[in-house]
Amino acid sequence: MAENLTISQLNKLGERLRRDPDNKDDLRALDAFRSSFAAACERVSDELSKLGLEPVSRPAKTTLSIIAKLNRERSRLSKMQDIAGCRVKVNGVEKQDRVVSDVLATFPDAVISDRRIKPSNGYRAVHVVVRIDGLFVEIQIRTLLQHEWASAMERLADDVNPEIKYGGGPARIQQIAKALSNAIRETENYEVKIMHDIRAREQKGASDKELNMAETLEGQMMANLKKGLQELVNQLTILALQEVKSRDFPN
Amino acid sequence: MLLFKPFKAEQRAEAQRERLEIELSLNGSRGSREVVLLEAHDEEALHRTHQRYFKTSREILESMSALVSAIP
Repeated sequence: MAENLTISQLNKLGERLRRDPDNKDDLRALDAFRSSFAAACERVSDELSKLGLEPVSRPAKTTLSIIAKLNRERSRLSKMQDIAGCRVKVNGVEKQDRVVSDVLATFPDAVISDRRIKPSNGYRAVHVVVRIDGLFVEIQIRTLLQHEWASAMERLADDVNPEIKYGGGPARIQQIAKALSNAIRETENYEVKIMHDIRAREQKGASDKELNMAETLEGQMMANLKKGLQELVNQLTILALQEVKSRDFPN
Repeated sequence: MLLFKPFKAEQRAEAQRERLEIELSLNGSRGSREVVLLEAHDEEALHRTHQRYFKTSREILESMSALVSAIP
């Protein structure tokens, strides 16, 4: 384990921070531990750049987030796999799948957590955890829409209630946010289906009539999905502004 | 409120030291303040991937609305 702390010492450090997050010696120890991830994180970031991506890295999870996670999940500090992380945004699910394959080719021992299949409170993305010199670095790969959704929820957690990120907070916001997450999934999956169908038609040598009919149907379906998405974004915006305003100007 | 301070790549150790100093000074107000060190090629990339620090809820949702509108 990094910085000469044994797993047991690290977990005891986490326990102490959970009880007293202001102890300066423990904060220094935590900082030394976190700082030891910098080289591993830089290596991952470099490899992602070589893949033509534009990663932004966060070599060390914030104290606030670490303590919140220790409290929320009763997890152990030594078990946290997201102390260091990199985030990349990609255009669409097909590109997301390609990037995941490229990352696996670069880091064959990496472990994938596909939160598109198993969303976490509506959060969808693909997380890949790689291990460099015994240290975990989490890569978050998000499509543009997945990223906008996640950013909105992160900011609403700051402005309204930190529990929003974990399925809590105002029930109506949770309901709309989850509906929006599902609508994003449907839209993104339909985009993939359209791409597959276009390739299939090209291979088959479809007639102009068949092409026109298919394009019209796909256009109508996509317009409906887009309309549904827009309505949910509007509803979430109205709710969010009401909640933020009620906190800024309580009765 | 956001306080933003850029560092060059070769100043990583200095940035880490400064982060620790701020952390140590947050006695009692840790629950409402976050000190984060991020690394990116440029500031614009930071704004793209970590909007939460730079935009309001309304701005993020408006940006999402614009993204939906741009779907062909």
